[in-house]
Parts: sequence; structure tokens; C-alpha cells
Amino acid sequence: MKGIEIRNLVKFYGDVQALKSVSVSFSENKIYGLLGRNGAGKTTLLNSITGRIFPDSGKILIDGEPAIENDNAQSKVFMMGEKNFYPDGMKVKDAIKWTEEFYPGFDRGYCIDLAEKFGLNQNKKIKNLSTGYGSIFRLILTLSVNAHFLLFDEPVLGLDANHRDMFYRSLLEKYSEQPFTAVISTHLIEEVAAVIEEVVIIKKGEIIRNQATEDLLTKGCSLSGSAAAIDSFIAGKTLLGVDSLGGFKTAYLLEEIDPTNLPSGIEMGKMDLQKLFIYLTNE
Amino acid sequence: MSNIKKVVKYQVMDSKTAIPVFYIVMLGIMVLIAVSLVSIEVNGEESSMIGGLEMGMVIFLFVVGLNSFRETFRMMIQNGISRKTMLKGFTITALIFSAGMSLINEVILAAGKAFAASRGNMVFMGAFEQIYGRHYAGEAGGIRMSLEGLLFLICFSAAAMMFGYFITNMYYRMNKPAKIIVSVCVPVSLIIVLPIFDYSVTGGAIFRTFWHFIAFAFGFLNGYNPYYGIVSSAAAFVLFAALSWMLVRKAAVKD
Repeated sequence: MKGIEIRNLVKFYGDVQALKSVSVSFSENKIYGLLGRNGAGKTTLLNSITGRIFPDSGKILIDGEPAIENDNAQSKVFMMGEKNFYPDGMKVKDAIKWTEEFYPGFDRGYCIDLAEKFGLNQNKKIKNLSTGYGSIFRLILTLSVNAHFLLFDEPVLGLDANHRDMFYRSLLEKYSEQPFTAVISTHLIEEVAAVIEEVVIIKKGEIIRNQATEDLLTKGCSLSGSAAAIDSFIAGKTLLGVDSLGGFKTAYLLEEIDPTNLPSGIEMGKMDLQKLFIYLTNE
Repeated sequence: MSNIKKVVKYQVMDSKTAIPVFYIVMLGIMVLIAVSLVSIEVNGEESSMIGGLEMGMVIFLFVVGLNSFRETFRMMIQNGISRKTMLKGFTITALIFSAGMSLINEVILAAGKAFAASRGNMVFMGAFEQIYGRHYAGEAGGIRMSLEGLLFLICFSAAAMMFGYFITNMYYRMNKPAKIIVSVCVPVSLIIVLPIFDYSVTGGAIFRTFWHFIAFAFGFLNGYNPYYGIVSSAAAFVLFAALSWMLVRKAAVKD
């Protein structure tokens, strides 16, 4: 199978089970959003794919090949982590040079262009970059490697609104020119919603949703009206949550509702991805 | 280019500044000693000059080994290199450094000897010659001694570099309490507890056995045969590489 396939992945940190038999696939040429609350297991999952940590059990396949300790499989993946893995004393331009050495598909021209566009000083030592520019440096390298699978863990950490917008644009431009698989793990759901095609939601080490963003958004809806009318209408339906104010109630459902069948006095609205995420991952 | 070559290239380039600095410092020290010995010559006494370059080189490569893991490991993992390839790359790098620096050492030794001979009252001698010199007594030219000395130095310094790598790997895998325990207990045991125990309980048997082992491993018990030292050093290199592999194969990247 082409893509990244994860089967029954289990990972413990001491007594804490970070991944509970996770099975998920990231197909070729799609942009995924890997969403989850803090400590849900997103970084553990990405770190396991790239061999930064070892899972306790389970399988990870990259284009059908085992991913763990496999140079060939790992050459198809590049991860932009939250933390810097480059030597502190290394300059940005040297990191670019070495990444080109390790990834023959690396596009140096594109990388330099992006660095100039983002205003990244290539003569600076990596340790002297601000949080935002540290993220920009790693983003630029990731976008330039031309690997089949790009994993982004909190890619916009510390970036201002302009730089975040530039990143999303650059990602989509690159994707439209030469499609690849991107997995973006982020807490800024509203921003990434416009970019991702598929959404994978992880909660307490378990995948609770793995579907096309559009499908999920189509199913999610809000119904507002008097408490009595709402209560009677939502009985037996997949309820995500409710907000009440006096005698007025809003119910959030994960179910396709035909608006023509709504009783009078109930109004239907759409739910955005962030709202859906909040209700799906609430305790 | 294979991944092993890339790792070797990275590690060699990583030390590209340290090696010239080492030679500048060592040559500076040697020139300083030579100049001071030349001035002593005025008294008409024979002065001797002992080249400490080999020991300096061995210590230098041990330190390079100590500094070759943490940052390189993170860099390699970032670039999709497996731990197996990393260790293979380091092993080749250790052999390249040992062979290259041992060759340079031989050249410096030959130049030092030629200089000492021109002065007439100086002796320039490497550590190998000091230790194993008696094995070559009566041999003219010293070519065999130079070649075997070179081989010995390559194996011994490669073992020292791999030993440094093993220690740094061990510390990387240990948690904080274990690091503190090892850092305190090992020196205390070796420097204080063991000598006292050996003196008062075993009557010095432990240290006698240890020195006997060293003397055997380096051929001192067998006519100062350098091949004992060469084989022992090569075995130590393989042993530390194997131990390093056991540590690195399941090493996780720490934040």
C-alpha cells in the first residue's frame, strides 16, 4: 500500500498509555489534520512514525515497508518537530546544506526563496533564532525537502498572523504544483480547517474520528430553539453537547438533519471544525 | 551517496576545526620544549626530548568520541538516518580519524627524529618506542618498528575513540539519578574503596591481577611483543562498538 499505515500501535510512558492500539492510515497526496487536546498522543504518534521513539507494540509501514530502523522508508518522510533537532551552534545556511546532503530531492533554490520571503537570516546560528523564526527555519526546510510525507507538529508555533498566512499559502502552492502527503498536528483548528482534506481526531491515545473534513462538517450541526422543542427533537439523536440560556437551548449534533423536516421554532446552523472538535474531545 | 558515507562526511566535517587546533597546540608545545632543550644544551649535557604526541592524540580522540553522540544523534534522526547506519558511520569515522592522525603522528615523529639527530645531543622518542623499543633492539633502520607502531597506534586510538562513544552513549541512556550514582560511585570505588579493600583484605591481589592482565594484553609478558597490544586494542574496539550498539539500538530522542 502507498502511504503510511499504522496498525495497533501501543506506547507507554511509565504507567501512562500514550497510544492505545492506534490504527490509522495516511494515504498518498492528501493533507491531513491530526487534531487532539494536549497530551492526546499526537506527537507520540508522529515521533513513532519517524523513529524518534520506539512503540511498545504495533506496526508502522511506509509505502508497505517497515518504518522502524529503515533508512529507505525514512528517506520518504520528513518531520518538522516542535523542538529543534539541529546542533545549536549550527548556522541556518549549514543546516540547509546538510539537509540537501541527506535528502537528494531537496530544492535549494526554493528554500532560499522561501527564506528570503519569510525574512530568515541564513547566517544566524540556530540557537539564536527566536521561537517564531525557529519554527520558520524548520518549516522552510520541511517544505523544501520534497519528501513524499511531510509531518508538521505545531508548525505555526510562535508565528505571527502574517507568517502563518504565508505558511498556509506556501503549503498549498507547493501541494498544487507537486502533491504530497502532509500531516499537520495543530491546536489552531480554525486556521487549518481551510487547508486540510481529512481529519484525524485523537483523544486519550485513541483515534475517535478519521474521515474527510467535509463529511464531518456536513454531519455536524447546531439546532436552536426553546428548550422544550429542542429536547423533544433531539431525543434518540447523536448529541455532542448543549448550551442553555434561560428557556433557550442550542444543541450540537453529529447527524445529518434534513432542514425541511425541522419543527417550527427550531433553527438549524452549521458547526465549524473547531466547535465540532471541542464537543468531540470534551471530557 | 550511501547513507553511511553521508554520516561519515558529517562526522568528519564536524571535527574539521578541532583537529587542526589540536595539532597547532601540540606542535606549539613541542616547539616550546625543543627551544628550551636547545638552550639547556649550552651546559654541554645531553638533553632528551620525549614526544608526547601519541598520548595527546589518544586523549583527543577519546574526547572526540565523548562528543560524537548527543547532537549527532538528533541531527541524524531528523534526517531519517537509522541508528544502525549511525553506528556504522561512527565506526568508519573512528577508523579514518585514527588512521589519519596516526599517519600524521608518524610524519611528525620522523621529522622530530631527524631534527634531534641533527642536534646530536637530543633524543626524540614516541611512546610506542619507549614501551616496545626493547623488542626491536639491534634492528637497523627502524622501519618495522615504525610500521608496527603505526598499526598499534591506529588500533589503540580507535579503541579510545570508541570507548568515549560508549561512555557518552551510556550516560545518554541513563536517567538523572543513575547518572549521579555512576558519576560518584565509580570514581569513589576505583580511587578510594578498591585500593583500601585490596590492601586490607586481599593483600594487593586485585591490583596485581589487574596489572598482570594489562601486562599480558599488551605483550609485556611475552618479550614486549606489540601484536598483543594490537590485537587487544582491536578487540577492545570491537567490544565497545558492540556495547554501544546495545545502547544505541533502542535509544529514544530526548527533548
